[in-house]
Amino acid sequence: MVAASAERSWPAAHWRAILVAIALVGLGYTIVRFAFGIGAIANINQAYPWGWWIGFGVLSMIAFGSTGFTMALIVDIFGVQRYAPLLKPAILIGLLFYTGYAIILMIELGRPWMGWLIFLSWSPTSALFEVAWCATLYTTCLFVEFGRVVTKHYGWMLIWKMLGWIYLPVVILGVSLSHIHQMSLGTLLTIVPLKVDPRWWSELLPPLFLVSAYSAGLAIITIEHVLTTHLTRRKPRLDLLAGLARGQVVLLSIYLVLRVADVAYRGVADAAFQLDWLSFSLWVEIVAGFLVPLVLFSLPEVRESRWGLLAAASLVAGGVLLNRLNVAVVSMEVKHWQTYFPSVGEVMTTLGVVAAGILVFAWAVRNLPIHSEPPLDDAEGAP
Amino acid sequence: MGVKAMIQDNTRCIGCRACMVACKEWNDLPADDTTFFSGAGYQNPKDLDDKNYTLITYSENVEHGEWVFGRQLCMHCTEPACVSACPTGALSKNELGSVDFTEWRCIGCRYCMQACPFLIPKFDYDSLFPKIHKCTFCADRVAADLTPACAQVCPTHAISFGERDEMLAEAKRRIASAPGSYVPEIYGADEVGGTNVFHLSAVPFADVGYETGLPKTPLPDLTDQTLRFVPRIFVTLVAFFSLVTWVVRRRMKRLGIEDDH
Repeated sequence: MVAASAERSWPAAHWRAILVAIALVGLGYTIVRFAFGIGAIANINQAYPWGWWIGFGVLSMIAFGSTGFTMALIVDIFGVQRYAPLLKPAILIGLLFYTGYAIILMIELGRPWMGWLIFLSWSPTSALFEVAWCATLYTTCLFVEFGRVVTKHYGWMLIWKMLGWIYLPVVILGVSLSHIHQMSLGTLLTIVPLKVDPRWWSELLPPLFLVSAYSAGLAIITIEHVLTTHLTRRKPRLDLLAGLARGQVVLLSIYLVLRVADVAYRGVADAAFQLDWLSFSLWVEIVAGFLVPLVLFSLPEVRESRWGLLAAASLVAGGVLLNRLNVAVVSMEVKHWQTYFPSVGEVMTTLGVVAAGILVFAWAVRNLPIHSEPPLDDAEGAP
Repeated sequence: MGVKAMIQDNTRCIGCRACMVACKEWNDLPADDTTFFSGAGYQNPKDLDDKNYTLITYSENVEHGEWVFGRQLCMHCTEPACVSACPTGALSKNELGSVDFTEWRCIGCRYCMQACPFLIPKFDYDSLFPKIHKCTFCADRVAADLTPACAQVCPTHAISFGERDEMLAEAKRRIASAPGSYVPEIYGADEVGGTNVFHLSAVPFADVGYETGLPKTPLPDLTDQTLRFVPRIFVTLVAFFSLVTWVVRRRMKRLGIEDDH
């Protein structure tokens, strides 16, 4: 009962109002963009054709959307049923991030009404072609996977049954598609070895993007679980999160070893110790985003504490975000007199999409069987 | 018709910018308001944009106390990064060797701008129907046996146009016949695997605002070395995950574990 009432009132009215306001501001900027052109709200320019929209809205959001495929890999493919309680929220979050990315792409593309042309073209030499195909197919897979939850809840048993027949093949397809498009996002910028600073440009960008996407997915599901169970007064499954944290230790270690070996192999270690803003950005990314959470996740005290897990997972999410921004925007060097800094419009359109996503997620938590954790008992949770 | 090429001989350029005007006229591009720009160059406008497909750059050679000129235009690479990056085939190579832009196929993703090592494709951000803008090599004029507008109008013959092998031989001949007047380098002969515009200069190209230090191999190779494995990786992953799923489900069934969702 406690959980049910807490859930009904979640998020609290003022939070809901703030999220709605952010979403509406984003919508307003989007209307201005379509009425007066990209230039009216964005700072992207002739020298920096890709900015915040690609760095955050595409590269980072797709990395965060890894929740769906990482948990499906663990639960459905490797059959570790213990983690099943984390699967439904993971699929919904993946679905929302991929939908959000598609919306931002529609704002970002100059001619979104021609976007369908990608699917009638054959450009296998283009990393963007590969990403567009796989991300779209994978979003369809996520709809099928989440369709099972919706159809069962509303009692559309025939559709539920039909989705059940194709469920496992769709999961296998989705997980495979995810691996290749997460890699291809890294491939996108390998074509410009001189524009991306050598501290980031590498032929290893594709595998680095894949490994950090796993980490991002597990981090986002950890953040979601801690926050949602706290806000809806349910008992968090710290045993499962601790398991994910152990996985993070392995993933973050692989990532850091790859990264250091790559920098050493390409002989750009000197540049990493240069005193400039790019090195600063590099070290913040590596230390705060990957090294510190690696240490945190390996401490048993942190793995047993939901706030410790939340902190470490947030650092990973921030690290992946900073990494994507560094690769695609910050480290880009063209002519020295040309600069770029994201505009309010660019940031607000993406935040608007994120706010709308949180509202949809909150609605789903209240109205669909996303979480199965028992409510906190009265002693702990009663007001 | 074989592959065409152009020589941009900066030692002959007097900075009159007739090429820029002719380019605007032929491509029906609007005039634009410009502001004084003092930076690496003093040219006007300072960069190529959606209204300027070619640009004479003005740089001050402090050592010799004189102006040196350079020119920016699409290099029409032999293996263009933009064509390989374009997801919809809006950019393509034609039989003249130049890079064509097909407006209706453009979705405005701007990956070509990102991919181009010479920073050539530009975008009209303020338009409601934006698209990519770049030098066409006047493919329409060339198809009608004319030379590109810029080459046609140049008063000092700094711009020459013809068959690629003849142009390359001519560029080499000029350097050989007047070694003191040129730096011994043909910019564009083998940058990123070769282009169809050959620049000659009296001063090092880096001093005239050119993108130097480019690899001698085509840039599309860099993405191709990953992308060509994608179909194979995909098939392998599907096979692997199918096998794992099958083995795991069989084991679950044997142990009587219910799949609880």
